Amino acid sequence: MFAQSLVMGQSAEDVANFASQQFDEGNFAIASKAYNRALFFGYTDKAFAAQRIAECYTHLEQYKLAGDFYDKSYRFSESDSMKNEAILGKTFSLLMEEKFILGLRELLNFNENQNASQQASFHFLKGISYFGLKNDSVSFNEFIKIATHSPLQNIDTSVVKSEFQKIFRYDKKYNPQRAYVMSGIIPGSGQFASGEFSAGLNSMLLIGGLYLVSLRVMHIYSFWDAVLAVFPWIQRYYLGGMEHSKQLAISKIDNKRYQSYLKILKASTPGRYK
Amino acid sequence: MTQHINIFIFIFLMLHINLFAQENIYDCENSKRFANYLFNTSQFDLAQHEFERLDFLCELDENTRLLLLKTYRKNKHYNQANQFFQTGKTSNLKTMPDEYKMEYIRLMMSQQLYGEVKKAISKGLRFPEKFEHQLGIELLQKNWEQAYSISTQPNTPDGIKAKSLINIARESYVSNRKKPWLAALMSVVIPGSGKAYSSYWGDGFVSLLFTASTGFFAYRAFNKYGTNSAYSWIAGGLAVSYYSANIYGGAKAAQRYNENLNHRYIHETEKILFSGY
Repeated sequence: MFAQSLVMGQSAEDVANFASQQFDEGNFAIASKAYNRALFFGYTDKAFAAQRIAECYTHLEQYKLAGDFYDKSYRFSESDSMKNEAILGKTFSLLMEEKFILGLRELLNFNENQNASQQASFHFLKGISYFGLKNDSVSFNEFIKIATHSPLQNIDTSVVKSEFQKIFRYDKKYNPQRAYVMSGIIPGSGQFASGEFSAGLNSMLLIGGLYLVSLRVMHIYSFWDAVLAVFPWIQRYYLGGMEHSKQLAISKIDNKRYQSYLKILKASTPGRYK
Repeated sequence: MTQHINIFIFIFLMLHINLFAQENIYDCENSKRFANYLFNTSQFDLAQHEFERLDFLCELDENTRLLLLKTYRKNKHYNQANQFFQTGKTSNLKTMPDEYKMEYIRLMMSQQLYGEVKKAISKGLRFPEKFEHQLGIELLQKNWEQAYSISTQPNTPDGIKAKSLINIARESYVSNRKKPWLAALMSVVIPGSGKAYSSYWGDGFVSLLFTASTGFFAYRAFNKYGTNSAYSWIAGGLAVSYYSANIYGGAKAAQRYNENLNHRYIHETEKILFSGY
């Protein structure tokens, strides 16, 4: 009878405790439901419960719902620190959905007079947002600030600096416009410049071969015969080769940027996101 | 001793009463409220668990059962929702409340079982947005003529949804679709013209250029080397294959044009018809 009474009388606080236990054990689906129940039935620390639900959804990779509950947590919070946590969480959810501009907009509400860990996260998320928007110089400054603002975070700034130096060079090294023009002057050379030797050789042999065919046609028939018979083919593969070299350069830059990005993240990710 | 026992009993009862006085957040009424909250906050996975728990422990009222069915649909657990509508007890849709009929229609539409909806309508099932669904299904099934004839019926509803669908039906009916046979025929006469007719002007021009180039090449080859040379026949074969492929390409271009057009109307219909689902 006493035990039954205990079950019957389970309060929102008891449910929240159970939720926390499940959360600590990594049972995020169960924890989110229990936190919801606690929140709904009057758990006093609403901001905390909403934030925990959001964290559960982040772990479950349901970022839309995570964002909704970070918003709730922000509204329920009274302290700037908790509000900042909600903003950081919401921004993270948005970035996971590649909504970089919305992420930056969310970070505008961040109160920068807070603890070092939050500031490090703030600059980290800002750095990712700007990187996603291809604003590399601002992104670099933000990644560097992670270490400046939080020396305890054990950030390898040398890696960040060297990788960003590489990123700054990629646009110049694999300039798509230059590759396009180069392929216009010497077919295949744009592909060579992007390090795509087989594609370059292929383009060079194809267009070179068509030039030889046109010379042969000119020799056997006339100049106009060559123009009429072979020109459409040359025009197609010549212009196609130029466009292809440009696309190759763009994808090369994207690929290199991504490789550097992974190294930057490895060197600068604050503890909470590891 | 008796006094001590009396004090113990008193304390025990007080404690018990106090615990009973606390709200039981797992009882039927509170669980129902909680499940509704989960549904309203779009946490459909959790809502489904709570509704199912409620279904096991308590007698579900009509509204709660309806929310459970909606949750199944939202979670794409169609079989569980289908089972409900297929059981003998509930097989007579006509006797169900409007909201249940509507949920059945939404469930069938979500599974693209348009035939089932048509069957229900032909059996005389009356439900809200019947006209919209009747018209929407014809549009989704690309029955443009049928959709147009429904849209021109007298006494069509006045709602925004109905009006928007009527507009799509009329526009899709009068819109100029390309005829693949005509595109092919045009390509026979002037290579590339079938593609140009299908609004692919660039492709048409390139096709004309290539077919003309290979044709000219073949003509010159036959002219110079005659019919005894393999070179002439290779050039001729190339020209014929380009020419015939271009005829096929013209017809395909017309089909592609029509598919893009139809896809646009279907997309607009889905956006309007499924809003509010």
